Amino acid sequence: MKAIITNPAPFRDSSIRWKLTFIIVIVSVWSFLLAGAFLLWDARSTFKQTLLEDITILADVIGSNSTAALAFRDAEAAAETLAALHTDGHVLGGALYDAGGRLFADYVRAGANVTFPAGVPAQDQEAFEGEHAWIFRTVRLKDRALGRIYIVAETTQWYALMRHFAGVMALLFIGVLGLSLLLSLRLQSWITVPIAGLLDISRRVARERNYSIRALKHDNDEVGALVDGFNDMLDQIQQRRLEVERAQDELQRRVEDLAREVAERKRAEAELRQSREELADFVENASVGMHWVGPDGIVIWANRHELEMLGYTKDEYVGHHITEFHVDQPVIDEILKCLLRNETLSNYEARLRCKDGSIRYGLINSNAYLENGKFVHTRCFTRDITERKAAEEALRESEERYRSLVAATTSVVWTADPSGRFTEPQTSWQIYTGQAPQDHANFGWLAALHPDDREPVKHAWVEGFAAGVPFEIEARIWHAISGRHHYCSARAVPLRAADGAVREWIGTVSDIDDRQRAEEKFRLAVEAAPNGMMIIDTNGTIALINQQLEKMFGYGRDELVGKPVEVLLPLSDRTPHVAHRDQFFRDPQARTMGAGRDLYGRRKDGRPVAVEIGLNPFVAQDGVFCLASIIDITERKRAEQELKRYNEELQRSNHELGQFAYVASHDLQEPLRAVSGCAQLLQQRYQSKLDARADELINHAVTGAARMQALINDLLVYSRVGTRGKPFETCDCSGPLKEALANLDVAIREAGAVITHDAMPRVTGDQTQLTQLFQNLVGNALKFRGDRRPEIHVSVEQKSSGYLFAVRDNGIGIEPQYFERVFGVFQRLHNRREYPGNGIGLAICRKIVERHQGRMWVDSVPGRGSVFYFTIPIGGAQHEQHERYNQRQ
Amino acid sequence: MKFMRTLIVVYLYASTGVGAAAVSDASLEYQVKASYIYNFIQFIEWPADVFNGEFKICVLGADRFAAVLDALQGESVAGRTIRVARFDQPHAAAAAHCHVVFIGRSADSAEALQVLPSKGVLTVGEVPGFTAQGGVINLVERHGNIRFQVSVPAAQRAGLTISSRLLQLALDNR
Repeated sequence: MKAIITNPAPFRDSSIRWKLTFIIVIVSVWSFLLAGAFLLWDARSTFKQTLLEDITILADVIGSNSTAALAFRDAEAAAETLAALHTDGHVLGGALYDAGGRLFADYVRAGANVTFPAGVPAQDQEAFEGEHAWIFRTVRLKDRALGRIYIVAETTQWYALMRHFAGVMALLFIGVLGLSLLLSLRLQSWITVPIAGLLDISRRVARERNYSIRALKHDNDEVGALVDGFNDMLDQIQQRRLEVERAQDELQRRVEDLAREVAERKRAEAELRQSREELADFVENASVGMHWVGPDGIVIWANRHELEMLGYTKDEYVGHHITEFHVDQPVIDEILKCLLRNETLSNYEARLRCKDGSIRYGLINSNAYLENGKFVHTRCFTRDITERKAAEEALRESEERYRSLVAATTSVVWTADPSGRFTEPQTSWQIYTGQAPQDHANFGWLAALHPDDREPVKHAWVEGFAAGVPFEIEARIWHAISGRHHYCSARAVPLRAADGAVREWIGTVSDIDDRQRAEEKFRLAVEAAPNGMMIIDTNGTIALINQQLEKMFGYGRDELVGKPVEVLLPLSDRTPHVAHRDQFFRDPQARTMGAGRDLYGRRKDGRPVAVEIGLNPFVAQDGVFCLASIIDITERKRAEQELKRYNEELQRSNHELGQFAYVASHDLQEPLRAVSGCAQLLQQRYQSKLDARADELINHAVTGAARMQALINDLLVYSRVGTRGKPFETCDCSGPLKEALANLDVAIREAGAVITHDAMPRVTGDQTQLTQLFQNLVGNALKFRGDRRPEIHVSVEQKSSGYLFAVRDNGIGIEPQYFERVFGVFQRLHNRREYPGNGIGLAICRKIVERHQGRMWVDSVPGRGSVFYFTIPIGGAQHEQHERYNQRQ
Repeated sequence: MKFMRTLIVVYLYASTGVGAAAVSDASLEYQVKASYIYNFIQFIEWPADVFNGEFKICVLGADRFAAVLDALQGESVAGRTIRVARFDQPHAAAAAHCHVVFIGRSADSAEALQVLPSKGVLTVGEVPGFTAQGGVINLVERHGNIRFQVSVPAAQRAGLTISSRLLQLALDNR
C-alpha cells in the first residue's frame, strides 16, 4: 500500500489522538486568520469608497452653488460658498478653477497645510495619495463647463479604525484557539476509541493464535467496516485450517492406492513381453522382405528375408538411410512423402540396389505406423519381382525397335519389269503403303495412289517406259503410318542388257509431302492476305501476285506475271521508279515505300488508286526478291478529309454559338433592366397601397426579374470565358489561389474551414480566369459542406504533359451518375432553397480549363467528399494563341 | 485701467467663447456688457408662451456693441436660436417681440419702458435709476468693475423667474 500523504517528521510516531487534535487546531486558526484578513481588507475598501462618495457629493453641491459666481467672476461670492466645506471633518481644503484652469477662489481648513495644484487635469479625476484623497469635478451651467472644483480630504481616521479592529481580533483569536483545543480533545474520542479497541484485539489474536476471537463493532463508519473486514479475515483463516487437514487425509489414501496399481502393472508387462517375442520370431522368419523406416528416413529394422534378398548384413542395412538402397531418388522420395501423409502404398514398383551392385525390382506394399496420430515408422513389405520385370522389358524393346524402323522409312526402292509391273515383292513399298505383296503385284500398286492421280500417273508411266529413258513423276501415295496420302516424287531408271534392250527398271519413291505442304500453305497465305501482295525480281519483273492485287488494279493474273512492275505506276512515275528499284536492290532493306509522300498506282482502266506500300526483300535459291505489300487507302483518305471538314465545321459552329450566347445575353440585359427597374419602382411606390395579392404579384415580378438578371450575368460570364479572355502569360499559380481565398475570406471564416495547399507551380495561362477557377472550386467545397467542419486541400502533381490539380473536400459528395451532369450549364442537383446558386460555376470552370487546353472531371464518394481534378498542360498557351491568330485571319 | 482691460479680455475669451474676433471693433466695456447679457439669459427663465422658435435680443438707441453682439447670433439658448436686432424707436422695438431689450445710454429709458410690453421682456439698462423707472436689470460701474442691480418686482411683473444664484451676486442684495 502506498502512502498518499506523508506526515511531517515530528508527528510520525504520535498517536491518532494527538494528530487529530493538531489538525483541528491548525484548521480553525487558519480559517480565523484568513477571515480576519478578508474583513480587514473589506473594511479598508469600504472606508475609501465612502470617503470618495462623500467628497464627490460635496464637490457637486458646492460646484452647483458656485455657477453664478464663476459666470460673473465674483471671487468673493465663490470663496463664501467654498467656506461651507468646513462642515465636513475630513475635508482639508477646496478650490475653484475657472474655465482657463486658473485658480479662482480657495478655502483651507484652519490649521491645515494644503497646496493646491497649479493646473487642472483634462478630465474629472479622483485619487488617493499618501494620507490624502483628492477629487477634481467639472462645474457646469446648462452643459457649459464654467470651471473645475477641487477638494482634498484626509484619510487619517482610517488608522484609528484599524487599531480598534486589531484589538477585537486578538481577543477573538485567543478565545477561538482555546475553544477549538477543548472541543477537539473531547470529540476525537469518537474515532480513537474504536481503533484502540481493534488494535487490542489484533494483538491478542497474534499472541494467543486463537482465531475464534472477534472484534466489537461500535459504529457503521470506515472504522466499523475495518472491524467487519478484520472479523471476516479471521473467519477465512479458521476455515482454511480445516481444509488443509482434510486434504492431508486424502493424500495418504491416494499413496496406498498407487502402490497397489504398480504391482498389477508389472505382472501385465511380463505377459506382454512373452507374446511379443513370439511375434518377433514369426516376422523374422517370414518369406517376404520386411523393414521399418523412421520419420528421418533411417531404416530401423529389417527381417532376415529382406537382408538375404539384397545381400546385406544387419549392420550394413539397419541404421542406414533408405535412399542408399534405392536406385531412383524420385521414387523413394515419393514413397516417403506418401507415407508421411499417412497414405497406404500398394504394389509400388521400385528398383533396389543390392550389395553386389546389381539391381533388383521390388514390389512394395507399405503403410505408416502411428501412435496417437503421430508418425512413428513405416512398415514395408517387399516382394522380389526382378525376373518378371526382365521378361517384360525384353518384349517392350523388340516392339519399339520394329516401330521405329517402320516410322523412319520415308524412301522406297522398287524394281519393275520392262513393262512397269512389280514382279517381286517390294518390301519397302509394303512398309510405306501397307499393301501386301499380292496386292501390289503387277499394276496393283496403282491402288495406293490418290484416285485423282491414278489415271495421269498410269499414262505417264506407260509413256516413260515406252520411251526407255529415265523419267520423274509426282503423285500422292497412301502413307500407311500417318493414315493419309503424301506427296511423293518417283524416279525411274532403266537397266539395259548387253544388247541395249531394257532388262529391268529400278527406281525410288521420295516423300516430299512436308515441302509440298509448306509451299501450299505459303501460297494460300499470300492469296488470302487482305493486302495486295506481289513479288518482283531484281529486274523489276513481276514473279507472283495475289487475288487482292488483281482486284485492286483490275488486271488478270496472266496479264501481270512476267511484266515489268512499272505497268502498275502512273505514266509520270515510271522512269524514276526504275532508278529507285535498282537502288533498293543494291541495299535491300525492309522499309515503307515513298515515306511522307502520297503514293498512287495506275489501274488497268487508267484511274489512279491511292496506296501505301511496304517492301520486304528476301533471298531465295535463285536470287534476291522483293515482296511488296500494297494497301488501297482511297477509302481512308476520303474518310480523313471528311473528318477534317466535319472538324472545321464543328469549330466554326462552336465559335458562332459562343458569339450568339454572348450577344443574346448582352442584348437581353437592356429590356430586362427596364422590366426589373419598373417592377422595383412599382414595389417601392405602391407597396401596401394595393391589396395583398397585388403586393405578392409585384414581389414575384421583382424576384423573377432579379433571378433572370443573375442568370443572364452568369451566361455572360460563361460566354466571356471563350470570347473575352486575356492573352496568356506565365504566372505563378499561388497568386490566383491566394486571391481566390482572399475573396472567399468571409465564407471561409463563417464555415470555420481549414484550407491547405501544396506548393503551386508556374503555368502559362489567364491569371484572372485561374483565380475564378480556384474561387469557384473552393467556394463550391465550402457551399456543399456536410455537418463536419470543412477541410479543403488543393494539391498539384507534375505529369509528363502538364500539371494535375485536385481540389479535395470532405463535403456531401456527388452520386456517380451526376459526375458529368454537374459540369452542364444551369445544372443543379439540389433545389435553390437547400443550396443557393444558378448552377453555372462548374460549367465556367470546365470552360476555363478547356480554354487552357486542359481536362476537368470529378471523383466523389457521396457523404464522404469530392475531388475536382483539372489539368493545365505545359504547352497549352502557344496552342491557344495560335488558334486565336487563325481566327483573326 | 490697464489691469481691468486685461481681465475683461481674458474673461470674455474664457467664459463665453464668443466675440473674440470682434474685440477690436467695440470698446472693452461693451464687450463685458455683451457677455453679461448672455450670462443673464442662462440664469433667467421666460414664460413658455412668449417664444416662436427664436430668441430675440434687441438694442435700442445708438449701438455701441458693434459686432460683439452679432457674435451671439445663431447661438442656441434652451433650444432657441439667438437673433440680434437694432432699433432707433421704442415703438418699433415694442412691436418686434423682443425677449431682451438693451436700452442704450442714448435712448430715453423712461419712454422706452413705458412703450415696451411689460410681459416676457427682460429690460437691461445702463443709466442710474433704471430700476426705479421700472427696468429689470441695470448695469453699473463699481470700483472699476461692471456690476448689476436687479429689481425683483419688475421681474415679477415681466413674468421672469430669476435664479437665486444670480440674485446673490446683485448689488444692494448682499
